[in-house]
Amino acid sequence: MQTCLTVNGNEYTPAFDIGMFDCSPNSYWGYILQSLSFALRILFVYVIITGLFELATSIMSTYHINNLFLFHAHFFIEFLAISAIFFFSYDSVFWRGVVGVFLVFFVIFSLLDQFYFDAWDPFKANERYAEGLMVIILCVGYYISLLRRPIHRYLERQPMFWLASGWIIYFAGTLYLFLFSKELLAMNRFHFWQIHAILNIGLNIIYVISFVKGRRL
Amino acid sequence: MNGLLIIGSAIMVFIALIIVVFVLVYQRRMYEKHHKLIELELADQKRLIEAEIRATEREQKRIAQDLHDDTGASLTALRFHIAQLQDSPQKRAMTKTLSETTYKVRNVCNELLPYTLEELGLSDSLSYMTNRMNDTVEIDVNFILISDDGTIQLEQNEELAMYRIVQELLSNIVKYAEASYIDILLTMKDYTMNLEIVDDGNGVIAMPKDHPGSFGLQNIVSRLRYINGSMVRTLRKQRGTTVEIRKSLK
Repeated sequence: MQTCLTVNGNEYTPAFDIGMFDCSPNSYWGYILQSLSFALRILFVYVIITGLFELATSIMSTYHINNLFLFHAHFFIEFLAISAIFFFSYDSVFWRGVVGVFLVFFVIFSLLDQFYFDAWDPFKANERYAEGLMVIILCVGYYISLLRRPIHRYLERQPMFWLASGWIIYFAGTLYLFLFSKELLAMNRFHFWQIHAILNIGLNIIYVISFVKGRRL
Repeated sequence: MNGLLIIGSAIMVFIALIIVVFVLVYQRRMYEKHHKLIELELADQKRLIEAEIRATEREQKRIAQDLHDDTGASLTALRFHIAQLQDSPQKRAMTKTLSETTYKVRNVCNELLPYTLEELGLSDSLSYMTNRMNDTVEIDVNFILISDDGTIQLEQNEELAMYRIVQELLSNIVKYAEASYIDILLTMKDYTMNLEIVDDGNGVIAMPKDHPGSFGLQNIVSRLRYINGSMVRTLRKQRGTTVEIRKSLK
């Protein structure tokens, strides 16, 4: 997700993120949507929506319009997509329940954050931080279920393993960033987004790998 | 602060990477271990099945021999005694009944211990079995063998297992399927033995999964496991059933 921030009087360069969108799988994978599993179709739709958001944020950034509400809206879509993918990937009723609880918690937390702590227009990362923590827990849950039922000889051939690995690396890497985001952005914005962009590029590459591994045709 | 930021993120990524690698390696090890356990269990199961089949065959052999030696000898003695009697309608009736009984005892002996299998091999034994069925039941039974050299190369135990499976399936068709014909097609091609039993019955030919408690069907399952074979039943749209048994010989 590109975040063309115009807060604090600064405008951040979108170069890394636009490049990332170019290498994301949107255009290439359109014709093989049918060949993907249900979970990967959800991811595909999410990637398409993210692409549209990228476009919108780029345009708004060009015209110096605050686009942070899109950034915040993206949290919901992203967490919803990740939760749905995990929900359909888990065999365990317990972990499916955890997904449901996290979804409810995330919505309540976001609303509380919205009404009592932050507004839509400034950069806020509380939700992102909460999302990161929950996704990491869901990834660990997925790993636990994998270790309980060793049915795959080659895990690296499983798209879901790639996705969980991509998310755990991305969200673990950005957890620290978003925890202190306000302070860090105020002090030095360059490294903040540089680190984020590197992790985001890595995540997008993993999405591509997941689509390649998950093709059924 | 920049340094701390980079180091902090790098540490987090590093921890995540360690988790990923750990899961990858540990899961692979667990899979191998799990797989070995399953293989051992299967080997044990196969040994048990083999022992069970051998015990059953031994018992059947003993009964067949007893029938042949004792009952057969008694029937021969009886035939000799009847021959001594003067010709009368009773003597003719007794002789007829005795012939039928002798024939039935021979049939039972042959079913219990297929002598033909050891002497002739699977294909000829099945051919012999179908000929005998044609004599005893009102169903047209045909046997067709398709093989490059006209033979089926199986180990003796595997031949016996196949023979028993076919015996059980044919018995089921005769009893329940109300068929007018049965075609048995034995094919040997590319190191795969394929046996098809086709009938025009009502499709009620039972499969092990339909009647898990049935002794005969359990026997089929055990013997299939023993020979590492597979069995598929197909119900035809009009009428009839096809049961296909496949075994790889590689």
